[in-house]
This record gives sequence, structure tokens and C-alpha cells, in this order.
Amino acid sequence: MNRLRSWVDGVDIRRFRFWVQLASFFILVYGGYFYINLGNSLPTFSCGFNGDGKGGICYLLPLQHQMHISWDALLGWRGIALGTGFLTFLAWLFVLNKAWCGYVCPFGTIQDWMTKLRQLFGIRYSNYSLETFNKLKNVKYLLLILLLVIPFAMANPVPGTGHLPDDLATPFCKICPARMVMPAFTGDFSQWTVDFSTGTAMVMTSLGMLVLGIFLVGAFFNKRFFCFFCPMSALHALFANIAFLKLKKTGEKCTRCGDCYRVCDMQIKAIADDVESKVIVKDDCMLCLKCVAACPEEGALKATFLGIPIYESTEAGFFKRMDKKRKEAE
Amino acid sequence: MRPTRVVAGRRARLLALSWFGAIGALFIPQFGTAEPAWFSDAPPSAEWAKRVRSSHGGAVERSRAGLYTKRLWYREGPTPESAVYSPDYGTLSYDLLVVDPTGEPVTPTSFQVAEGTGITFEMPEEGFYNAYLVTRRVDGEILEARVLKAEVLKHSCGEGHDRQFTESRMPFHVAHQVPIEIVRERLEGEDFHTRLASGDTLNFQVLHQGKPAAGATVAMTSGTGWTRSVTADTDGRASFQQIRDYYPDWNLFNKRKSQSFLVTAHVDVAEAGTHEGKRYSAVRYSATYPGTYYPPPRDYQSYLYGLIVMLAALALTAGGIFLYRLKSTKPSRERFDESA
Repeated sequence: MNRLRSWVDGVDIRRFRFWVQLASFFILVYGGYFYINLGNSLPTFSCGFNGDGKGGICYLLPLQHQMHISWDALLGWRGIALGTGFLTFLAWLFVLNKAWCGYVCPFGTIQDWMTKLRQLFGIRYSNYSLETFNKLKNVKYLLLILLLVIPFAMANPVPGTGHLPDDLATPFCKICPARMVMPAFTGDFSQWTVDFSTGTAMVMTSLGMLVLGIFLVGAFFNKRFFCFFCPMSALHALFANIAFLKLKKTGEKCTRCGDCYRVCDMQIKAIADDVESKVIVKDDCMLCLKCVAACPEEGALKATFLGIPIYESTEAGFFKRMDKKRKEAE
Repeated sequence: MRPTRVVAGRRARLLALSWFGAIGALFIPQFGTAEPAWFSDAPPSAEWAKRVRSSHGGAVERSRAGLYTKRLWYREGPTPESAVYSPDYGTLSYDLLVVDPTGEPVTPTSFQVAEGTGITFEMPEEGFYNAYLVTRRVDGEILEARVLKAEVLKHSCGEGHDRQFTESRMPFHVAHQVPIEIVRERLEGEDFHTRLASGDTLNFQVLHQGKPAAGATVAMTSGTGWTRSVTADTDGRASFQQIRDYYPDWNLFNKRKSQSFLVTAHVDVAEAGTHEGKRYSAVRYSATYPGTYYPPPRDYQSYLYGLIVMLAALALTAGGIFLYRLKSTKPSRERFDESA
């Protein structure tokens, strides 16, 4: 058992993650062709606009549809449907927590591949100042609120204010670059358009294409560029501390060397600075566990599932990975 | 059962002319041109419209438990848009048949109200329901056997989008109990979310007594009355390209505008007999199949503008990053205030 544990703790997490991401990408982007259907409540960007290839649907799409619900219908069968969808989403989320972002999300995987491409060209990456980072991280909560409130306001118009346009029914999907990027992987570019049928549709689809342009450059230069703004990440964050998979830190073992911060694609400074919190899953964390792999301190960082440690920082594991890296470099 | 020979009306008369001469043709019954009738789910009044909500399969009434009920109204008239909601079927002799997506019969409920008449039936299953009204009436020496068919979809996104399940529910069903039937062949890749659109080529097959009705006269009529009539090929097939029949001012354009079409087919058969005590010497089997279609996305979506917006955003972002990096790599120059 101890040998198994020390083997797991010494594993090359980057390689493991690469293969899990590749498999997840295949299942969620092409799985539909093999009749794989993981349902409508996935806590990850498996885009519903991806035609027959999709192996499941990102929960944000049905959530926006279901939020188009009147007050009285909330207590009827539609309220039950909304609740059932949400509970299914929670059930999925509780298993992997934010590792859905780090290991499963196909849109995140594409961003990781773009990072690899940039590294291949030898172009240095960009990152945000701490001040900018702290401002940007709130954008995803704003987007989450808007995607919930706008469809609900459409179904419950305030008297005297008129109805919101129908083309706002799924407001976030309209501006989400995944709507254009994910179907493109199955050869479908039908979303790469501006819709001139109404003023609202024109504005929203233009915004979508604008965000796509920014995304294609941003994700090339910034690691996980879009994840800072992702409302799914915000929704995860609300339940991250009660999910089964957790990232824990033993503050007294931390030397604040900063290795964990340096490898963090999401620039989470608290991973190095915070020596008080026991559970260290911050709202931008994607549980990639690169920080655990980079930590040289025995048991300072660990991933646990239902309280059972499954991957832990060890000195032996750290040096094993360093040796491997050095040999690769030679 | 006596085998019947299917002969289209005009052809029958031509044959008669060639075989028996002009005098003989006089004995061939002249088929009338009764106005077509069909089922429509469009409510007849604003009051009835309040009861329905739109779904992927058109207008439905929905209970609090989420069960969909379809209400089909009997309509008559030369064009779908100007057709009237008739108070009755014009005959007391009729048969109703509704088949669910699994091929099982469903019992419809007839209704007759001041605004019109028709049927309702519950739709618990996902997929296409086929509703048929078969009427028979002797007019002169001709038995008019009409089959009104409505193929209505039930789909709720809340019930999921399992591809295997959807594919299993896409093939059309044929009712062997009805004497004539129009079936619409599915478009390539069609699923529960597919909307027929202007420009699509729709393929239909006319079946008479369950077999392809070669030579049947098939006509497509748009909502405003544009009509094209063709003769079915040896497999009973006929194709129509949906025309654009919606030309509003651009500020009034509605991409969700539902437009109607009606497909009619008839087959004339030299077949004698009696119906409700009246003798007839020929039968006209006629069928109707209504449907809806929408403006195609290419009418209102532009790839060019999409790419322009995307490329502009891409260029500006890339340029911004380049300039920022250029600025941050240049050493700052010392400035002297010479006036001091």
C-alpha cells in the first residue's frame, strides 16, 4: 500500500493530466458520434451548440433556458425540472469539484493547447498584475448573475418596463467564445456569423464574434485566459468547499518558497501566501494539482477525496519529477 | 378483394378518349374540385391562442404536470392562410386515427365549439404523432375519400437529446388503415430541432393502399396561395423546393415567422360500389399534408460581417499586446525640462 502511495505521489501529473484532458476532449466533443450522452447538466463547457458530436451539454445552456420561468411556475413541474437539473449538476460537481476545469473542460484544454503552441514558438507569456487580477476575477460573478437574472426578468417583466427581447434568452451563450470554437472542431462554423434579424441579435452575435477575436489572441498569450471570466467557474466556486475532492494545505509545513504560485496557470497567490486555511480551493482554482507536484515539502499540499488523501506533496516525488524534467531538458 | 387500377383523373379521361372515342368519355365521371381540407394547430382566435404555447412541434396546450396536448382544427379553403375553420367535417361518415411515435394507436377526443371543430390528443411520447381523419362522401357518381393527415412533433428539451433515441424516432410511420397517405421524407440529418426553411427541397411519397401511387397528382400550396403541381414518379415520389413567401420590411422581419404550406395529392380510380346506399362508379382518393417552414438563416445571418468583427478584435488585441510589450522593453528616456 505504501509503495502504491509513493508511486502515486511521484507521478508525473502533467503527463497524467494531458491524457485525461485528451480523453475528456474526445468524449465531450466527438462522443455523440459514438452515442455517448452524459446529459444536460455537465459542470463543464461541453457546448450544446456542437451538433451531433457533443457527448453532453454544459449546464449553463439549460440553466438559462430553465431560468425563463415565471414566479408561479417555480412551484409547478417546471420548478421541479429546474431543481432536478440543478441537483444533477451538483452531483456531477461534487465528484470532481473544480477538477472539471483542470481535467475535463474541453474549452480549457484548447486553451492549454494554445499555451503549448505559444511555448513552441518561444513567445513569452503575459500575466496580470495583482491589482488587475483582483478586479478581473469578479467579472465571472457578474456574468453568472446576469445569465440568471436576464432570462428570469424576461419571464417576469416588471410592469411598465416592457418585455426584454427574445434574443436575450441565452445571454451568456451568445457571447461565449465556446459557442463558436467547440462546433468548429466538428467542422461546423455556422455560429461564426452576425445575426441581423433584430437589433438585439445583431448586438449579441457581434459581441460574440468580438469576444472570439479577443479570446483567440488572449488565450495564446495568457494561460487559461478565459477561465478568469468563466461563470461556470463562479458557479463551481459557490460549492467548492463542500465537494468531495478538495485541495488541502498544512500551513505549518509550508516554507512559502512560492513554487506552487509559480506553476499556477491561474496566478493564485494565496496558494503560497495563505498558511491559515485548511482547504485551499480558491475561486479561480481549477484543481490541476500542479501546485502539489511542485511542492517539495512533505505533506504540505494534498488532494483529498472524501477526506482520504489521493495525491500528496512529497520530497521524493518532487525530486523524482525534477530529475525527469532535467533529463528531458538534457 | 377486387384489385384496383390506379389511374390519374386526366389520364383516365385521355385513355377513355383513345379507347372509346369522344362519346365514351362522356360516361367517365367528371371529378370535382372540392376545396382541400386539412388539420391545423393554429388557434382560430386570440382567446384560443391564450391556451397554447409554442414548442418544437408547434402550438401545444400544456398541463401543470408538463403533459403536452395537441389540438388540431379542421380547416377548409384553397390557401392555408385564408382557409376557414369549419364547424363540421361536412359528413357524418368519418374515421379518426392517431398513431404515436412508437406506432401504437392513441384515442383522440373530438371537440366542436363555436370557433370550429377538430380533435385533441395527449402526447406523452417524444417524436412524431400522425393524426388522420378519413371522410367518405358520394358526390354524383363519385365517391370522394379524403384523408387528412397531420404529422406533429412532440419534443421537449427537458426530456433530453439522446442521439440514439432521436434517430430511432425519426423514421416516418405509414398507416395501412388509410386508403391514401402523403409521407414526408426526412431531410438529411434532420432531428427534433430541425426547422424546414425556404430553399429546402422537400420530398414526399404518396401511398395508395400502402403502395406507391405512381402518377398521382401532387401539389404544393404556400400560405399565400402559390401552387405548383407535379405528377408523382413511379415510386409515388414528388419533390418541391420551398419558395420564399415572406417579404416584410426589414424592420418587421421575424426570423421565427412560421409559414404554412399544404401538400395535396389525389388518385382517381375507376371503381364502382355503393356507400351509405348511394351508388358510385369512380373513386377519388385525396390526401392532404400540412406543414410549416421558416425563413432560412442565410436570409439574416452573415459570415462576412462575423469574420470582419472577429478579425478586427483579433488584430486590435494582438496590436495592443505588441505595443504594450514594445513599450515595456524600451528603456525609458530621461527628459530634461530646459525651461527650468
